[in-house]
Parts: sequence; structure tokens; C-alpha cells
Amino acid sequence: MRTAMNAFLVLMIVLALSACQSLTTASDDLSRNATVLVINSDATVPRYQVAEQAFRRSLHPAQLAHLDLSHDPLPVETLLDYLQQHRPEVIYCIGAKALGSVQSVAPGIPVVYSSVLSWRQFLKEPNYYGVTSEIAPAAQLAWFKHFFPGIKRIGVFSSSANQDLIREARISADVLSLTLVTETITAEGAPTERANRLLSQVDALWILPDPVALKSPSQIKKLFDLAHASGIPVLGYHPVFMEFGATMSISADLATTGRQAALIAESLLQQNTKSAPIQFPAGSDIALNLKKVQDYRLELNPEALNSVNELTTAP
Amino acid sequence: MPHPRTMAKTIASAGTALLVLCGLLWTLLLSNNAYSETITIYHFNPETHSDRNLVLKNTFDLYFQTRHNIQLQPVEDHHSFVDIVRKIHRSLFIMSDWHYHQLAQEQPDLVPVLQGTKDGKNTFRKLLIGKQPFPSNQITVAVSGTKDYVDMILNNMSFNGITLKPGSYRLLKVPKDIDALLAVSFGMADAALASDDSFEKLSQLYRNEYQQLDLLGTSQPQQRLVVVLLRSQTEQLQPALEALETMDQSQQGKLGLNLLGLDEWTPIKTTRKKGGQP
Repeated sequence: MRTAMNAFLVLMIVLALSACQSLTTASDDLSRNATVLVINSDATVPRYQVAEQAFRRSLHPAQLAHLDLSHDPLPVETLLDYLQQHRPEVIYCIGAKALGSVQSVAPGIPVVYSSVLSWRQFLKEPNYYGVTSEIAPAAQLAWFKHFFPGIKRIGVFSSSANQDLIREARISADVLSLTLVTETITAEGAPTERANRLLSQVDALWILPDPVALKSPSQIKKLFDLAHASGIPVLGYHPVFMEFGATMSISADLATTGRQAALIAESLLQQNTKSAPIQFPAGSDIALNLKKVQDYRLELNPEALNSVNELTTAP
Repeated sequence: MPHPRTMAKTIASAGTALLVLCGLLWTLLLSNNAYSETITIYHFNPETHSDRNLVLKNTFDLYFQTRHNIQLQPVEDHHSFVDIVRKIHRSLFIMSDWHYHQLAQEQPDLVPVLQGTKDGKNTFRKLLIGKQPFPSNQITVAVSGTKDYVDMILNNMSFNGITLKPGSYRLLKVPKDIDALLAVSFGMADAALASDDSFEKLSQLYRNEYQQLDLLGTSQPQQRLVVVLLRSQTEQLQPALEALETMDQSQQGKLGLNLLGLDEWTPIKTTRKKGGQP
């Protein structure tokens, strides 16, 4: 009886092992056949997770393989190891670590990327297709005008780092019958006097990505304090500015960004390489502080409210 | 000293009285519970993206908490919502009119009692707006609704000079109709499916862009959101219906309506409740 039991146990173990074996083989086959490699800089970061999930939902699961570079001290080596064994047709990079690693390896495979703040430095890379981190300046201005029809003059800080952006924004502002007022800020100079001069001429202050004007949290806080003291609302390009006291922020909807990346990858897989090298995010995420709207006595278009994603009343 | 039989009678009478009293108290307690139980209003709208659930819940609940024992519960996905409508009877449901007609086929006891209006109108049209030239193989259409809803709209649309066959287009899902229109303006999509209101807003914002866009198709008039309940629950849900109907009379209520893109809820005429057209 005991011998029979032992034989049965051995048989069960063998069956279990063979099942594991076949699972491993299937998984390897899946990975080997994957046509799209998703490289996530850090899959534990929620904003990266959202983009990856939306990307995955848009493509067939059998097409996808995944590399997570979080806590990986040697991402380039990891990537090289992978590419020695597999040959995906498209790589999707989420975040700068993933994109930087792929650029170092230069695998000669079309690359799609998103959630990369320094996307401008990849514009000239052949076969690179990206979705920017910020909503198009023209679209931001359109949203401002939609929410606050009374705002006509919008102030921005200009520095050597954002001249292209300012030029583009000025054209868009003209089209929308808005006036863009700029004030130059340098890395060395004290911004208070210039900020006050700008604030005295405008209906709202628009924060643009700028390493000079936004060089530190203390400088950002100072600019917000000055604006508040002048009774001028601040409009930002990222929800983090709501915590500094912005009246509204317009940022990219990350799930839409992932879906855009999936469409680009799909076009590349179909050998339809006519995608633009860079796209702006097509989806917006809008946060609005109603307390600030009241404090600054802004004329709020009630019809715009059905576009708000987050409504706060923080002082 | 009373006679033992009389005493027994007295005790029996007191016992009966006590039982009746307990019964009355129990009934009162139950009926009180019935009234104090929170009424949940479930909301799902396949015509728009669902990532605004938190803002809707917070705003509606702030309005309700002033005087009602009611809460809003937005629902993330279609299947969960359908399941809730099937199983939870003592609730109101805010849904698209299109979705209501789908569910009513299976549950004929569902009746629409209120309908959202905007600028005095209870309908809108979806437009297909595009910017030529289109790619030769497949066009990308930016949309804010679920795939089922979009397919239904496109299948019943009157087109101007183009045809959209299955496989000739792919969808880019975006959160809002204005996002869809801006996606066409900035080259992220070739066409957008958006409401006539949103297209009008774009025309006011961006005259130049508006002039470069073509109207490729127009849907049949679509009814705005409806509030639905099970006919048998009408009386029990009256407080919640009244709370919704009077939303436009307070600032917080108006805010909630605006978040849904509405000005007010208006009662639906009896003919429609019975299944006829308004």
C-alpha cells in the first residue's frame, strides 16, 4: 500500500514538473514571438503604470514582452542581454531611463517613447517616435480661454531655455486673440522685481516648463507668493502646481498618452512609418481650484466645468 | 387578594399588550430604518470617459449632504453597472438614454423619470469632424465614448462625401470631446467624433482652426442623460428624485449639473415613461 502511495506521489510530482516545463516553454515562446518590447523605467511609478496599462490594452497580449528597469543598476546590460536572444519589431520606452538605455544600445529598431521630459534631445534620432509630456501650448491657451473668457493678457517668464516654446506660444496666443506678455529671467538675477513688473501687466500668470524660472521649489513658491500678493491667478502645466496655489492646471492624460503610443507602434508594425517624430498628448487632465476662482473674482464659464477632472477648494 | 384566574387573565392581557407594543415599536423601527437608509444614485455614461468619477462623487455628495440621505456612486465600467441595475432595486440610475433603451429591453419595469437639459434642449447631435487630406489606408478618429457607443453612432450617421467602412478607421480614445477636436487641429488624429456643443465651443475659441475643419457626418439627435428607476420603487425613491429635481436651485447643485454638462433635470412626460417617444 505504502509503495503504491509513493509511486502515486512520484507520478504527481512528475506530472506537476512537466506541467511547469510546458508553462515555461509556452512563456518563452510567447516572449520569443513578441513583436513589441515594452521597457518601463520603473513599473512601480503610478504614472508609468497608467501609460503601460493603456498601451497593453490597445495591443494583442501575444505581441508584447516587458522589461522593468526599476532598481536595475545595469539597465544597458539588461537590455543587451535581452536583445541578444530576441528581436522585437518595435520598442516602447516609458520614462527617461528606458529611453536613455535604448539610445545607448542603438539596436536599429523603431522606438516609441513617452513620459520623457527631455524629449527635444531625441527629435533628431531617426526612427524615434514620441509623445511629449506636456499638452501643446496652443491647446493649453485654448483651455484657459474656454474656462476664463475674461482673461486677455497672460504673462510668462522667458529664459534662454524656453525661447522656442515662447515663440510658438505667442503665435497661438495671437490666433486666440490673447496677448502674451513676457519677462526675461536669468539664472543669476533676483526675480522679484521682474516678476512684479510682469504681474502688474497681466490678468494671469502662465507657468511654462523652464529650468531657470522653476529652478527650485523655493523659487517656485516665491513666484506663487508674489502672484498671490498681486491678486493674479496662476495657471500651470502640471498638477503639482496646484499644491503651490495654482488656480488651474492642464496636464496630459497619461492613459491617452499610452494609447497614442500604441497607435504609433501599430502603424510601425504595419510598415506604415508615416507617424510624426513627435506628437503632443491628445488627452487632457484638468484640475481647478474653485476657492481661487472666487478669491480672484474670475469669470468662470460654467460650460467648461464638464471637462474638469479634479475640483478643489484649498485655500 | 385577586382570584388566581383573574390574576392569570390580567397577566395574559398585560403580556398581549406588551407584545402588541413590541410589535408596534418594531414596525416603527423598521419603517424608520427604511426612511433613514441611504439612497444610492448610480451613474454610468458610455458617452464619455470615466476618469471623472471622483470629482462627480465629491460634488454631488456635498450637495446631497446638506439635507438628504443620498449619495452618488459613479460606476467605472459597463458590466458592473448593468449588474447593479439588475440586482439593486431601491436605487436611482443616471445613464445615457441610449443605454437606458438597451437595458429596458431586458428589464421593462425600468422607467426614465427625469431628463437632463441644456439651454432648454434635451437632445444633442454627434458630429464627425475631419481635417483633409486623409491618409490613404486608415484614418484615426479621436473619440470620448466607449467603443459600443461610438460604433452605434457611426453606424447610424449621415455622412457628407465620405464612407466609413469597418477597418477603414481606428479609434483613439480621449477623455473629452474638446480633446478629440483639438487632437484633429494639432495632427494627433484625422477626425473627431464630438458633440455639436463642443464643435460650437471650438468655433468660438479657434476661428482659424474651425474654418479648416470639415463636417463629415451628423448623427441623429441623441437624447441627453436620463434618471431611471424601477416602477415599483417610485414612491420610496421620491426624496432622491426631489433632490435631483431641485439641484438647479442651489450653487452646489448647479455645480454638479454643470459637471455633467447639464443645466437642470426636468420630469419626463408620462407617455415616454410608458415607452412612447417624448
